[in-house]
Amino acid sequence: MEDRQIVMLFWARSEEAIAETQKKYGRYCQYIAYRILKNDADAEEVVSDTYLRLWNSIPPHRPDPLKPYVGTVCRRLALNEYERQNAQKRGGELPAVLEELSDCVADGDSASDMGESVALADALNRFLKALPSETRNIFVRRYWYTASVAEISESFHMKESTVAMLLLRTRRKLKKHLEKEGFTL
Amino acid sequence: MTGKDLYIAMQGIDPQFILDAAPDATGARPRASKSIFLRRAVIAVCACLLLGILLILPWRMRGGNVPALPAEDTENTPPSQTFSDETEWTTQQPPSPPLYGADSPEKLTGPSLVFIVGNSASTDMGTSSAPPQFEFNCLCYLVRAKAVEVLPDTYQVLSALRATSDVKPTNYRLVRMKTLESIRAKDMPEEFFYLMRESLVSDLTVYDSLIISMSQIWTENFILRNVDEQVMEALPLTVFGDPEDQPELGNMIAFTEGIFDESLWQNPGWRFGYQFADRYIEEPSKYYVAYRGCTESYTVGRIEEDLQAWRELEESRGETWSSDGPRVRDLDVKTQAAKEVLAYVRPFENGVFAQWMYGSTVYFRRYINGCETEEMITVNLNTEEVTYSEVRYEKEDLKGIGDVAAQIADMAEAYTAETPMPPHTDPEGKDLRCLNLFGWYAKVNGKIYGVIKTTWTYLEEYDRSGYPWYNIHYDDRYLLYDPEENAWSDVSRDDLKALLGLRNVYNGEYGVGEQLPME
Repeated sequence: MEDRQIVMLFWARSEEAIAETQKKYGRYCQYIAYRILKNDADAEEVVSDTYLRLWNSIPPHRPDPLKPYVGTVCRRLALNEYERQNAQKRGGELPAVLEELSDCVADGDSASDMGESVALADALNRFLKALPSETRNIFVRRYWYTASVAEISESFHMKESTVAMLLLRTRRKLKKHLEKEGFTL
Repeated sequence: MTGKDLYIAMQGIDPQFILDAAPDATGARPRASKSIFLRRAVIAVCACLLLGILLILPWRMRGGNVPALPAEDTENTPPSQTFSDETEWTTQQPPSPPLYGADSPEKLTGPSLVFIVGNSASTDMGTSSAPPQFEFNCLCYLVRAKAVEVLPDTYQVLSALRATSDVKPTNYRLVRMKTLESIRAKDMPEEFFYLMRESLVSDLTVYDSLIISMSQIWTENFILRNVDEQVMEALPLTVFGDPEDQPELGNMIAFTEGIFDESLWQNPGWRFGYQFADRYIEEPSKYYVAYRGCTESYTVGRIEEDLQAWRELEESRGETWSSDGPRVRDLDVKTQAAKEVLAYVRPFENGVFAQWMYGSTVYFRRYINGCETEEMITVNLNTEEVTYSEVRYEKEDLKGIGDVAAQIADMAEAYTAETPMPPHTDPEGKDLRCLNLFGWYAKVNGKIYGVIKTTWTYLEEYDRSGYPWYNIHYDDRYLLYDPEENAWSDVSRDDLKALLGLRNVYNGEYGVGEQLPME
């Protein structure tokens, strides 16, 4: 079913919307949640919660395209679940991802307001747009989908060391880009 | 700035980048190779999971242990399970004799019926960063109209003053509209009111025409509270409004001299605001029903395409599709019973009855001096079946009745001088978002009690993986007017429940808080 039709079903408050979303994006959500939680049962729980969150947010939202919206909701829920489970003990892929991204910035205070967060997202978009498409996809797969380097190397038919090096260089470029954009790092 | 900030900021990247980098479906599971048996087992498990979701989710959504689905009545209310309304219903009970003469519209005695401190309206935790969408919700009434007048006064909806409303009553303005064309709406009146939040209203009369997708809010002769004049006011036209009570750009499109006029949208309060629209109205392909400089006829044509898509969808689901669109509801009833009800609730002839609609049923609730009672009457406009609540108010009842509104006014003055402490909540580290006074009447064994509830709503923010998360803490205290004592006194919620039942009484656990979603 087309995304637009699924969204219409949500707006019409038809429970078919859930089933169609599950059919089309269930595995996509499972992928996202699993990469963060590293546990099938927890990931399935998050995916179920994703459908409920979609039901409660469409309407009023009318996402187009639907897929990244679904993915974003799932990612947020998975992060919340991760945080709940790992308040004391860190594990999985996320700590490594956060550590790597810390390379791009100096330790400092957290972004203070929504305006800065929005500006940061805009700067990231400009940076990503300027990257070669393959590099961008690898970067997003690592830092949005929280995929492991090994998995990326398999997907993109590269050696793990190549992926790691590409990510390192991209992070360095990002650091320069953010400095140029005026962010206090 | 931290690495976590960057990671969170990644949430805001262009959705296209997310799509481009998405793993394909075959990469969605762990990569360990599986035997054919295992593959089949996985398929079977997936099928069971799908079946389970299909079977269980609808049940869970209807009342299982999940958040309730949004009700059609979208007033600001906390979770409904924490409050009860014990209204008992009977059918076909004849109306009581009138309480008031026809020439005695109600006045409000207190300087302000509602007292609230704190920026309670901002419990919306932020604006959506989603790009605007401009499809019409075609299940709504779809018309071309001309705004004739924006009424100067501010109004509040009576039922929004209920105890379950822990946020400020929304101030509204009314725009008198003239129907130019029904694109998809049956029996559209020549004139109607469009209800808009005061914070969003602008001078709509400057536009030659507006294309509006809207819902019917009330039938004619509804009553609103006129905030400026401090009186109840009956207004004669049918009222429509935005389906979500917060217009988004696509639900109202303005035209001047037949050309799309984007100035209407340059209001930052509108959902999916102009900061997003500006990026999307440059070219037709990015925009669904209008683009910069397009003609009104182009927009109407795109809407008709949208309607066609809806029609195909509905028919593919075996639903019938009416090209005429939804019928506008009115109070033109045929049966004697329904006529008696409408005569009984006619504005000011027998007191004040607030009106609201839910599906094909119109509900009328009695208000005394701006405070609600449990007396309710309904009329189903399809079947014309009527129902009356068991509790009815008679003229004799009003002798010696406590003045809830005046008491609220006194308490508001005291609260202004000094913020009262909540009885069950430690306010340390919490932000008082709303201190609210609310009063109502209840009739038990022929006696009319008055109740005033003070509610505190605190917001506690904490960091969770860099996301702001919130706990909302609710607390309250009750004051009871006993007609035999002719005095007000504090009452515990348990005693109140024993005396008057559960109506408007909080049933949740104090001091625990309830988690709010992160946005």
